[in-house]
Amino acid sequence: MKILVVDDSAFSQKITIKTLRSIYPDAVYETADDGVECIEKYGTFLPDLVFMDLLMPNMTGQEAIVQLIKKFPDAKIIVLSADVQLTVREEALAAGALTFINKPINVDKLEEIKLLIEG
Amino acid sequence: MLTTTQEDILKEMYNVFVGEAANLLSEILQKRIFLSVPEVELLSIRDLDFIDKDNLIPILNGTILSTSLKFGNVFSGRAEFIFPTEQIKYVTALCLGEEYAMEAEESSFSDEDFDVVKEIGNIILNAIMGGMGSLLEMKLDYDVPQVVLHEQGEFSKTFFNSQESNILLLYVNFSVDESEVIGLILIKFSLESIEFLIQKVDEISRDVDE
Repeated sequence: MKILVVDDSAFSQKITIKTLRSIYPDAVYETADDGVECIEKYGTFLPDLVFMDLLMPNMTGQEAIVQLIKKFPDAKIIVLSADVQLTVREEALAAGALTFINKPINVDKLEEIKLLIEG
Repeated sequence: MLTTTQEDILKEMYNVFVGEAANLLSEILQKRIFLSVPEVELLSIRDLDFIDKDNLIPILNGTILSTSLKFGNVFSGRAEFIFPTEQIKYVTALCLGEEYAMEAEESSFSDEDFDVVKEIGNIILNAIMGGMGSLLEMKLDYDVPQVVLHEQGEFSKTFFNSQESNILLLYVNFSVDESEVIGLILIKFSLESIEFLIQKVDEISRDVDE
């Protein structure tokens, strides 16, 4: 499995990958610092899952989701954001995100994601 | 000037959102978080000319690192999560799950320190402002959070230098293990937002009285 973690915070990337490793220890991880880098890396890395922050410089997560889904309709994008607003969640899901979880990430939240993905 | 009821409702609302933020902070730091009683102050531009800004919130007199989150549109202002610099290394170590060894001289900060402060501030301030947005039934737009190192007293000068006629100040202290204050939250609202918030508070007050 290949997982792309998109976040402008190196600390957040590190924590996300560390937590993900407890669920997906054998996955290959790649990072992107913003939406622009995410779009660039998606085409070459071809991840099975994307963990996407929303509030980022250069290109926000919302914009990146729209562009990714347009190019890769099967992209599985999980939003990982500090924004707790219901409207933001609804907008992200309407744009094509698979699901939305609030920071901080933890193993319980990831177990739910795993269930959702694997059925 | 806020009435006692308005102040009480604002404090209680703020308390709920800060409680949620403290819960998140506790999860990040893996530590019990202690909160001070939240304070609410409505300061007019006249107050700002005369108040003793140095003693209003003493922690601001020192060198501090702040995460600043600007929010808008109709309801707008600036929320700040402030760390005294002497606590930064401790907070960073807690976040990264590393051992903390106090050093004699801790005046320089790494990119990692700044990044940790930015991310914690972002999570905490989003929890509080998101709660307020839900209460007001309003979507808030945010700018990307900024982390700034302020030398002694610099923060007060800029934060309290308002172009607006009033500032509504909400603040609370966080501490770990009942020891030193590790952080402080300050929120400043624009004039229109204060009016909007007070209207909402009055509605809540009427609903309660009915």
